[in-house]
Amino acid sequence: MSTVTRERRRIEKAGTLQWFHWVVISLSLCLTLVAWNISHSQIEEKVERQFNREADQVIELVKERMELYENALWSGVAMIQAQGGEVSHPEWRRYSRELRIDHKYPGVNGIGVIFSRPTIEIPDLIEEQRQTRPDFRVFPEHDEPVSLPIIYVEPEDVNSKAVGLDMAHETNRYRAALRARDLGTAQITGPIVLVQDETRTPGFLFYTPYYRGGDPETLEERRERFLGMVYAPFVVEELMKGALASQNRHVGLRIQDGDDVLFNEHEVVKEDFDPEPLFRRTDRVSLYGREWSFDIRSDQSFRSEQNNAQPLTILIGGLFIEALLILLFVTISRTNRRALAYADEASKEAIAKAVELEQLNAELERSNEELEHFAYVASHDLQEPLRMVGSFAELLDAQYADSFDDQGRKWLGFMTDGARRMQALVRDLLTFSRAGRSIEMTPVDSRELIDLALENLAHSLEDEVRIEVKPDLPRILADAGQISSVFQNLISNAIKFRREGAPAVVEVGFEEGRSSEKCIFYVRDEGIGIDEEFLGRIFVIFQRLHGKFEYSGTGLGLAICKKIVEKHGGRIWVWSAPGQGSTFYFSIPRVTEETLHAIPTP
Amino acid sequence: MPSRPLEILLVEDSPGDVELIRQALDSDPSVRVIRVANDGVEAIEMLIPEGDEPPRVTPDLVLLDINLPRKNGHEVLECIRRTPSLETLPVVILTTSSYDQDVDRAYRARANAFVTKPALGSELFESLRETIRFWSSVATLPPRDPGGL
Repeated sequence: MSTVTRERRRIEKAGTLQWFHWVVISLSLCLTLVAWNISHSQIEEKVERQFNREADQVIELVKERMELYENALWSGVAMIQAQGGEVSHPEWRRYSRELRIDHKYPGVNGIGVIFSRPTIEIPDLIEEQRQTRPDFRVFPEHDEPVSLPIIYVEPEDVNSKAVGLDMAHETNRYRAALRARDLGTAQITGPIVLVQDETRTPGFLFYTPYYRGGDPETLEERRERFLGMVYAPFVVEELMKGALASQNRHVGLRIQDGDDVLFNEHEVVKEDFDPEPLFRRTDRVSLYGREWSFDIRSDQSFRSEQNNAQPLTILIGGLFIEALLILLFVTISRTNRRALAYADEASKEAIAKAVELEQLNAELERSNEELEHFAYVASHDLQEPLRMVGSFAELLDAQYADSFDDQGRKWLGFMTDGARRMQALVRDLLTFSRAGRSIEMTPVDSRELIDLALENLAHSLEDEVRIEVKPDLPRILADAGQISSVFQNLISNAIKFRREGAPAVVEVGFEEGRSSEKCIFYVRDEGIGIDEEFLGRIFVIFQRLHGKFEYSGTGLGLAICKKIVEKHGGRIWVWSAPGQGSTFYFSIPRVTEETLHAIPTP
Repeated sequence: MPSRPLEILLVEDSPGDVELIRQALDSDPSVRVIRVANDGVEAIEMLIPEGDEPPRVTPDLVLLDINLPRKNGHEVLECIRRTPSLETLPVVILTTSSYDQDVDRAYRARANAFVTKPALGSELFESLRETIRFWSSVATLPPRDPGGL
């Protein structure tokens, strides 16, 4: 397969998207998708972490707040136990005021004390209390053996309804109280509605037990020495408001105790509620004897907070680059196709041109051959009738001249002369048509050729003609006969065009050519010279610079020389000036080692 | 020196050339143009015997042009040389052509000489006379009747 075809195939392939283009595009696409995916999942992780952080935070806040309140209650217990387990109303009032619950513990509804008394001793208790508070009562009635009435609760104004309320009447309150008593730890009740709560929203009570004479070790001791509890009532709403108020939250919280909803932010009407949260978590937290489930959802602000454009930017950017890549490849391949089409067009044109040229060449060759053939045949066939005319004219002249008068003889002379000149022309035309055909190049000594030419000119060499042939003439590669005739012609011209009265001195020599492959011969005379404006024209066929009767000649000689020399691959030219003689130069290939070996030996 | 003039058969189609040649040779008594054939077939009919008949023309020398109608000079020469009795007959080709092929072919066919008619009349006479003089005075002609051969 030629290099051209190979190259063409290559460019053809480059004109379409190849497998590696697709590989690059697919790879790039993959990379983009991977990057997008990574970015996306990283963001997601971050967001999830954020959510978890916030969720944890919320739960912690609630727990912390509860602990805070627990501590407040324990301090109450500490106060009572420091007084030996007894506390009066003014003492409690003073204590709670010092405590400053509103300020230090916002969210708690109040703080109070519950006495534990066997139910049968309750009337005595009532009587006791009525000494300072005539309206004191314990309610409602119940069947439990032990009663747990709220004795004090501060601030009294908002909590007045709770005074005297017996914990034993209601399951949640009662069970939690008993738990506190038995375990000796802070306990909260299940969901209840505080009697003092106007809005009747979920709440609970926080109990901390106190005992007679220091911390009991065993369950029996606890039961036996149980005196009462310091407690705090809570409205969950208020509690949460207090706990979570300062936070810039993006999550919503719902707290349930079993099936009871204590606190709910998951309502459509609430601001920022997200019906389809990004994240959701349910934590079960054991809190002072109860298990609260914290149902946490991310809200709208969380969604908007977390809106991160990074993955999308990466995706879009990547896809954009893809598109550019594809565009680039398509453009390149299209350009290649165009280039190929152009090359095809151009080469088609070039080929068409070449074909044209070849045709032209062939035609030229043919017409050349025809011309030469014509010239040959014409001159050949012309010779016969010419010979008739010329010969009989001569015969007439020889044998019947006396029969003619002067005019007749003159006319006969013109005829003879004309015939003679015509014959010379035809002969020269024949020579011209044959010149340069079937050249046989052989290595030959140029001196020999010159000698041959001089021999042929011997009859025209008179005493007044001196031919000087330079020595050391080279061997040349030429057709002996034809180059010899060139020398003959040039020397003959040199003799012919000599200056009147002056002897003809003709110098024949050679010079080194610019390239070592040719040598330049010259024939120099001191004859009449040639005008500058004619220097180019003299090599043209039939061109004569002088009248027919001044100098003989058919005007073909130099044209024949030119043809022969040029067929040898050389050039012929002249230097001359009027009155200063002329030097004719022509170049001929010389014999070198290479040319010698290149010639097939006969 | 022969006793009688050299008898020449001229085979030439151009009447002008016939005239020129006659003119050239007329002044030489040692030579005589006995017959002229104007084309190749005529020449053959004259020279080559038919059957047992003797040939009609028996020249000492044939001057033979190449460019002849009907049969050209080459063919005539070949016919002559094929005839046993004419194998040694001197034949001089006298023609306008100097074509190498013609010359070569003629000599191969055993022509005795090839003379190109010069273009100029004067030269023609000169070369004709020289040619004839050679054959009439210089060369020894082959025996006419080989006799017992």
